[in-house]
Amino acid sequence: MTTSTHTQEICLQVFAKASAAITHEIKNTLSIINENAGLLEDLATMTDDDSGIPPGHLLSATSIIMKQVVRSNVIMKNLNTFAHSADIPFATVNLETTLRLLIALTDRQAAMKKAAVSATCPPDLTIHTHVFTFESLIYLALRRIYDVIANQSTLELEAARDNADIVISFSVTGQPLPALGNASDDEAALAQEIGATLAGEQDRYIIRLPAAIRDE
Amino acid sequence: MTTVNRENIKVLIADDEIEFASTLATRLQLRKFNTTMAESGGAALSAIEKSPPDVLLLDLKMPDIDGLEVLARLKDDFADIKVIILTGHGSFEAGQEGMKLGAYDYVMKPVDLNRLIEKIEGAYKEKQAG
Repeated sequence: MTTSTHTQEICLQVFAKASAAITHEIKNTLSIINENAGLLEDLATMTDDDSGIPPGHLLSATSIIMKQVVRSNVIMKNLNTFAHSADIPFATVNLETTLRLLIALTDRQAAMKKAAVSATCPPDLTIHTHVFTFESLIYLALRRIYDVIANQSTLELEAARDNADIVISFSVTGQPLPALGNASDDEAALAQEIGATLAGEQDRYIIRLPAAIRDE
Repeated sequence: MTTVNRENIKVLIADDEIEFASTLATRLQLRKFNTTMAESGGAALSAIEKSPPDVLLLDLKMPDIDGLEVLARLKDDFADIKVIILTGHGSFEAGQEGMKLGAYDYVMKPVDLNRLIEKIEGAYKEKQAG
Protein backbone atom coordinates (compact mmCIF):
# COMPACT_ATOMS: atom_id res chain seq x y z
CA MET A 1 0.00 0.00 0.00
CA THR A 2 1.44 3.37 -0.98
CA THR A 3 0.07 6.80 -0.33
CA SER A 4 -1.38 8.73 -3.22
CA THR A 5 0.30 11.76 -4.71
CA HIS A 6 -2.54 13.90 -3.42
CA THR A 7 -2.04 12.66 0.13
CA GLN A 8 1.69 13.22 -0.14
CA GLU A 9 1.02 16.81 -1.23
CA ILE A 10 -1.24 17.38 1.77
CA CYS A 11 1.37 15.90 4.12
CA LEU A 12 3.98 18.18 2.60
CA GLN A 13 1.71 21.18 3.14
CA VAL A 14 1.22 20.14 6.76
CA PHE A 15 4.96 19.82 7.24
CA ALA A 16 5.48 23.24 5.68
CA LYS A 17 2.83 24.71 7.97
CA ALA A 18 4.39 23.09 11.04
CA SER A 19 7.87 24.22 9.97
CA ALA A 20 6.68 27.81 9.53
CA ALA A 21 5.13 27.82 13.02
CA ILE A 22 8.15 26.18 14.64
CA THR A 23 10.71 28.45 13.00
CA HIS A 24 8.62 31.42 14.13
CA GLU A 25 8.88 30.06 17.66
CA ILE A 26 12.63 29.67 17.28
CA LYS A 27 12.87 33.29 16.17
CA ASN A 28 11.08 34.20 19.39
CA THR A 29 13.53 32.27 21.55
CA LEU A 30 16.48 33.74 19.64
CA SER A 31 15.03 37.21 20.15
CA ILE A 32 14.87 36.65 23.89
CA ILE A 33 18.42 35.27 23.95
CA ASN A 34 19.55 38.22 21.82
CA GLU A 35 18.01 40.76 24.22
CA ASN A 36 19.47 39.09 27.28
CA ALA A 37 22.93 38.78 25.72
CA GLY A 38 22.58 42.48 24.89
CA LEU A 39 21.59 43.21 28.48
CA LEU A 40 24.69 41.38 29.73
CA GLU A 41 26.73 43.54 27.39
CA ASP A 42 25.00 46.63 28.79
CA LEU A 43 25.80 45.51 32.32
CA ALA A 44 29.43 44.83 31.40
CA THR A 45 29.65 48.37 30.04
CA MET A 46 28.15 49.71 33.23
CA THR A 47 30.87 47.87 35.19
CA ASP A 48 33.48 49.66 33.08
CA ASP A 49 31.76 52.93 33.87
CA ASP A 50 31.87 52.06 37.57
CA SER A 51 28.21 52.97 37.73
CA GLY A 52 27.15 49.75 39.45
CA ILE A 53 25.08 46.84 38.26
CA PRO A 54 21.41 46.68 39.29
CA PRO A 55 21.04 43.73 41.66
CA GLY A 56 19.54 40.64 40.10
CA HIS A 57 19.97 41.67 36.48
CA LEU A 58 22.97 39.42 35.85
CA LEU A 59 21.36 36.32 37.32
CA SER A 60 18.07 37.05 35.62
CA ALA A 61 19.67 37.45 32.19
CA THR A 62 21.73 34.27 32.42
CA SER A 63 18.82 32.20 33.73
CA ILE A 64 16.55 33.48 30.94
CA ILE A 65 19.18 32.59 28.34
CA MET A 66 19.52 29.07 29.71
CA LYS A 67 15.76 28.65 29.87
CA GLN A 68 15.34 29.77 26.26
CA VAL A 69 18.07 27.41 25.09
CA VAL A 70 16.18 24.54 26.74
CA ARG A 71 12.94 25.78 25.14
CA SER A 72 14.60 25.97 21.71
CA ASN A 73 15.99 22.48 22.11
CA VAL A 74 12.56 21.04 22.92
CA ILE A 75 10.98 22.86 19.97
CA MET A 76 13.65 21.61 17.56
CA LYS A 77 13.49 18.08 18.98
CA ASN A 78 9.75 18.00 18.32
CA LEU A 79 10.16 19.20 14.74
CA ASN A 80 12.98 16.70 14.22
CA THR A 81 10.82 13.84 15.53
CA PHE A 82 7.98 14.91 13.23
CA ALA A 83 10.35 15.08 10.25
CA HIS A 84 11.66 11.59 10.94
CA SER A 85 8.12 10.23 10.93
CA ALA A 86 8.43 10.19 7.16
CA ASP A 87 11.50 7.94 7.23
CA ILE A 88 9.55 4.69 7.45
CA PRO A 89 6.10 4.86 5.85
CA PHE A 90 4.43 2.25 8.02
CA ALA A 91 5.40 1.80 11.62
CA THR A 92 4.07 0.96 15.04
CA VAL A 93 4.12 3.97 17.34
CA ASN A 94 3.03 4.73 20.86
CA LEU A 95 -0.20 6.69 20.59
CA GLU A 96 0.19 8.77 23.74
CA THR A 97 3.67 9.90 22.69
CA THR A 98 2.42 10.74 19.20
CA LEU A 99 -0.55 12.75 20.44
CA ARG A 100 1.66 14.68 22.87
CA LEU A 101 4.06 15.43 20.02
CA LEU A 102 1.25 16.89 17.92
CA ILE A 103 -0.05 18.93 20.84
CA ALA A 104 3.47 20.28 21.32
CA LEU A 105 3.80 21.09 17.61
CA THR A 106 0.62 23.15 17.80
CA ASP A 107 1.47 24.72 21.14
CA ARG A 108 1.77 28.24 19.74
CA GLN A 109 -1.68 28.11 18.15
CA ALA A 110 -3.15 26.92 21.47
CA ALA A 111 -1.34 29.74 23.24
CA MET A 112 -2.91 32.27 20.87
CA LYS A 113 -6.28 31.16 22.30
CA LYS A 114 -4.84 30.79 25.81
CA ALA A 115 -6.15 27.23 25.54
CA ALA A 116 -5.12 24.37 27.80
CA VAL A 117 -4.77 21.05 25.99
CA SER A 118 -4.52 17.62 27.54
CA ALA A 119 -4.29 14.07 26.23
CA THR A 120 -5.61 10.99 27.97
CA CYS A 121 -4.42 7.71 26.54
CA PRO A 122 -3.41 4.31 27.93
CA PRO A 123 0.39 4.48 28.05
CA ASP A 124 0.91 1.16 26.26
CA LEU A 125 -1.55 1.81 23.43
CA THR A 126 0.07 1.57 20.02
CA ILE A 127 -1.05 2.08 16.46
CA HIS A 128 0.37 0.55 13.31
CA THR A 129 -0.32 2.89 10.45
CA HIS A 130 1.14 5.27 7.90
CA VAL A 131 2.54 7.48 10.62
CA PHE A 132 3.16 10.70 8.71
CA THR A 133 -0.35 10.65 7.25
CA PHE A 134 -1.86 9.94 10.67
CA GLU A 135 0.14 12.73 12.30
CA SER A 136 -0.83 15.14 9.54
CA LEU A 137 -4.49 14.29 10.08
CA ILE A 138 -4.27 15.00 13.83
CA TYR A 139 -2.28 18.18 13.17
CA LEU A 140 -4.92 19.56 10.79
CA ALA A 141 -7.71 18.66 13.22
CA LEU A 142 -5.96 20.48 16.07
CA ARG A 143 -5.26 23.58 14.00
CA ARG A 144 -8.88 23.70 12.82
CA ILE A 145 -10.22 23.28 16.35
CA TYR A 146 -7.95 26.03 17.72
CA ASP A 147 -9.38 28.33 15.09
CA VAL A 148 -12.93 27.93 16.39
CA ILE A 149 -12.72 27.43 20.15
CA ALA A 150 -13.27 30.29 22.56
CA ASN A 151 -10.41 31.95 24.40
CA GLN A 152 -9.24 30.11 27.52
CA SER A 153 -10.93 26.85 26.54
CA THR A 154 -9.71 23.48 27.74
CA LEU A 155 -9.37 20.98 24.92
CA GLU A 156 -9.21 17.31 25.83
CA LEU A 157 -8.03 14.53 23.55
CA GLU A 158 -8.98 11.05 24.63
CA ALA A 159 -7.74 7.95 22.87
CA ALA A 160 -8.80 4.37 23.51
CA ARG A 161 -8.86 0.97 21.85
CA ASP A 162 -12.28 -0.22 20.66
CA ASN A 163 -11.94 -3.78 19.35
CA ALA A 164 -9.85 -3.51 16.17
CA ASP A 165 -10.05 0.26 16.12
CA ILE A 166 -8.51 3.25 17.83
CA VAL A 167 -10.94 6.01 18.74
CA ILE A 168 -9.63 9.52 19.33
CA SER A 169 -12.08 12.11 20.55
CA PHE A 170 -11.64 15.87 20.86
CA SER A 171 -13.86 17.75 23.29
CA VAL A 172 -13.88 21.13 24.98
CA THR A 173 -14.50 20.96 28.71
CA GLY A 174 -17.74 22.50 29.78
CA GLN A 175 -18.99 23.43 26.35
CA PRO A 176 -19.83 21.85 23.02
CA LEU A 177 -17.24 22.20 20.33
CA PRO A 178 -18.39 25.40 18.65
CA ALA A 179 -19.27 25.28 14.99
CA LEU A 180 -16.69 22.65 14.17
CA GLY A 181 -18.63 21.65 11.10
CA ASN A 182 -17.22 19.05 8.81
CA ALA A 183 -13.60 18.14 8.50
CA SER A 184 -11.75 19.86 5.69
CA ASP A 185 -11.27 18.17 2.33
CA ASP A 186 -7.62 17.63 3.22
CA GLU A 187 -8.53 15.89 6.46
CA ALA A 188 -11.02 13.72 4.61
CA ALA A 189 -8.39 12.73 2.04
CA LEU A 190 -5.86 11.84 4.74
CA ALA A 191 -8.50 9.92 6.67
CA GLN A 192 -9.44 7.90 3.62
CA GLU A 193 -5.80 6.97 3.06
CA ILE A 194 -5.47 5.34 6.47
CA GLY A 195 -8.98 3.93 6.71
CA ALA A 196 -10.19 6.49 9.24
CA THR A 197 -13.69 7.86 9.64
CA LEU A 198 -14.34 11.38 10.89
CA ALA A 199 -17.46 12.35 12.80
CA GLY A 200 -18.51 15.64 14.31
CA GLU A 201 -20.98 15.08 17.14
CA GLN A 202 -22.67 17.66 19.31
CA ASP A 203 -20.06 17.72 22.03
CA ARG A 204 -17.07 16.09 20.39
CA TYR A 205 -15.14 15.39 17.24
CA ILE A 206 -14.16 11.78 16.70
CA ILE A 207 -11.54 10.07 14.57
CA ARG A 208 -11.90 6.30 14.35
CA LEU A 209 -9.25 4.28 12.56
CA PRO A 210 -7.82 0.78 12.44
CA ALA A 211 -5.32 -0.01 15.19
CA ALA A 212 -3.29 -1.79 12.54
CA ILE A 213 -3.45 -1.44 8.81
CA ARG A 214 -1.76 -3.68 6.27
CA ASP A 215 1.31 -2.06 4.82
CA GLU A 216 2.15 -4.13 1.80
CA MET B 1 20.32 67.11 13.62
CA THR B 2 18.14 67.69 16.67
CA THR B 3 18.55 65.53 19.71
CA VAL B 4 15.68 64.36 21.84
CA ASN B 5 15.40 63.98 25.58
CA ARG B 6 14.72 60.26 25.84
CA GLU B 7 13.08 60.64 29.25
CA ASN B 8 10.25 62.44 27.48
CA ILE B 9 9.61 59.57 25.07
CA LYS B 10 6.93 57.24 26.36
CA VAL B 11 7.40 53.80 24.83
CA LEU B 12 4.94 50.95 25.28
CA ILE B 13 6.08 47.43 24.33
CA ALA B 14 3.19 45.07 23.49
CA ASP B 15 4.42 41.48 23.17
CA ASP B 16 3.21 38.22 24.67
CA GLU B 17 6.79 36.93 24.98
CA ILE B 18 7.21 38.38 28.45
CA GLU B 19 10.90 37.67 28.74
CA PHE B 20 11.50 39.44 25.44
CA ALA B 21 9.39 42.44 26.37
CA SER B 22 10.74 42.79 29.90
CA THR B 23 14.38 42.58 28.82
CA LEU B 24 13.87 45.00 25.95
CA ALA B 25 12.11 47.33 28.41
CA THR B 26 15.05 47.12 30.80
CA ARG B 27 17.53 47.87 28.01
CA LEU B 28 15.52 50.88 26.84
CA GLN B 29 15.18 52.08 30.44
CA LEU B 30 18.95 51.86 30.85
CA ARG B 31 19.08 54.21 27.85
CA LYS B 32 16.69 56.59 29.62
CA PHE B 33 13.52 55.86 27.66
CA ASN B 34 10.27 55.98 29.62
CA THR B 35 9.24 52.40 28.94
CA THR B 36 6.31 50.21 29.97
CA MET B 37 5.00 46.89 28.66
CA ALA B 38 1.80 44.95 27.99
CA GLU B 39 1.54 41.21 27.38
CA SER B 40 -1.46 41.04 25.04
CA GLY B 41 -3.39 43.13 22.56
CA GLY B 42 -6.13 43.74 25.09
CA ALA B 43 -3.66 44.75 27.79
CA ALA B 44 -2.00 47.13 25.33
CA LEU B 45 -5.30 48.83 24.51
CA SER B 46 -6.09 49.20 28.23
CA ALA B 47 -2.66 50.68 28.89
CA ILE B 48 -3.10 53.10 25.99
CA GLU B 49 -6.49 54.24 27.33
CA LYS B 50 -4.89 55.04 30.69
CA SER B 51 -1.69 56.60 29.43
CA PRO B 52 -1.12 56.89 25.67
CA PRO B 53 2.50 56.34 24.69
CA ASP B 54 4.36 58.31 22.06
CA VAL B 55 5.64 55.14 20.46
CA LEU B 56 4.09 51.68 20.54
CA LEU B 57 6.33 48.68 19.79
CA LEU B 58 3.75 46.19 18.64
CA ASP B 59 4.12 42.45 18.17
CA LEU B 60 1.77 41.08 15.53
CA LYS B 61 1.03 37.63 16.95
CA MET B 62 -0.59 37.96 20.35
CA PRO B 63 -3.41 36.22 22.22
CA ASP B 64 -6.88 37.77 22.30
CA ILE B 65 -6.38 40.81 20.05
CA ASP B 66 -3.57 40.53 17.52
CA GLY B 67 -1.27 43.36 16.51
CA LEU B 68 -3.02 44.28 13.28
CA GLU B 69 -6.34 44.54 15.12
CA VAL B 70 -4.72 46.78 17.76
CA LEU B 71 -3.38 48.95 14.97
CA ALA B 72 -6.81 49.20 13.36
CA ARG B 73 -8.45 50.17 16.68
CA LEU B 74 -5.93 52.95 17.27
CA LYS B 75 -6.85 54.66 14.02
CA ASP B 76 -9.83 56.59 15.42
CA ASP B 77 -8.92 57.78 18.90
CA PHE B 78 -5.16 57.41 19.07
CA ALA B 79 -4.03 58.12 15.54
CA ASP B 80 -1.07 60.19 16.77
CA ILE B 81 0.64 57.24 18.46
CA LYS B 82 3.55 56.09 16.32
CA VAL B 83 3.51 52.34 15.91
CA ILE B 84 6.59 50.27 15.15
CA ILE B 85 5.72 46.69 14.29
CA LEU B 86 7.86 43.94 15.82
CA THR B 87 7.69 40.91 13.58
CA GLY B 88 9.23 37.48 13.94
CA HIS B 89 7.74 36.53 10.60
CA GLY B 90 10.19 35.13 8.08
CA SER B 91 9.30 37.69 5.43
CA PHE B 92 8.77 41.42 5.27
CA GLU B 93 5.14 41.00 4.25
CA ALA B 94 3.69 41.13 7.75
CA GLY B 95 5.51 44.36 8.55
CA GLN B 96 4.53 45.90 5.27
CA GLU B 97 0.92 44.94 5.87
CA GLY B 98 1.15 46.81 9.16
CA MET B 99 2.53 49.88 7.40
CA LYS B 100 -0.40 49.83 4.98
CA LEU B 101 -2.59 50.06 8.09
CA GLY B 102 -0.73 53.13 9.26
CA ALA B 103 2.26 51.84 11.21
CA TYR B 104 5.28 54.15 11.23
CA ASP B 105 7.78 51.36 10.53
CA TYR B 106 8.63 47.76 11.37
CA VAL B 107 11.62 45.81 12.66
CA MET B 108 12.39 42.14 12.38
CA LYS B 109 13.17 40.00 15.40
CA PRO B 110 15.79 39.42 16.72
CA VAL B 111 16.02 43.16 17.16
CA ASP B 112 19.06 45.31 16.43
CA LEU B 113 18.72 47.67 19.39
CA ASN B 114 20.60 50.61 17.88
CA ARG B 115 18.45 50.41 14.76
CA LEU B 116 15.32 50.20 16.89
CA ILE B 117 16.38 53.26 18.91
CA GLU B 118 16.89 55.21 15.69
CA LYS B 119 13.37 54.32 14.65
CA ILE B 120 11.89 55.19 18.06
CA GLU B 121 13.57 58.59 18.03
CA GLY B 122 12.57 59.17 14.43
CA ALA B 123 8.99 58.27 15.23
CA TYR B 124 8.96 60.63 18.23
CA LYS B 125 10.37 63.50 16.19
CA GLU B 126 7.72 62.97 13.52
CA LYS B 127 5.02 62.94 16.20
CA GLN B 128 6.32 66.17 17.69
CA ALA B 129 6.42 67.75 14.27
CA GLY B 130 2.73 66.91 14.03
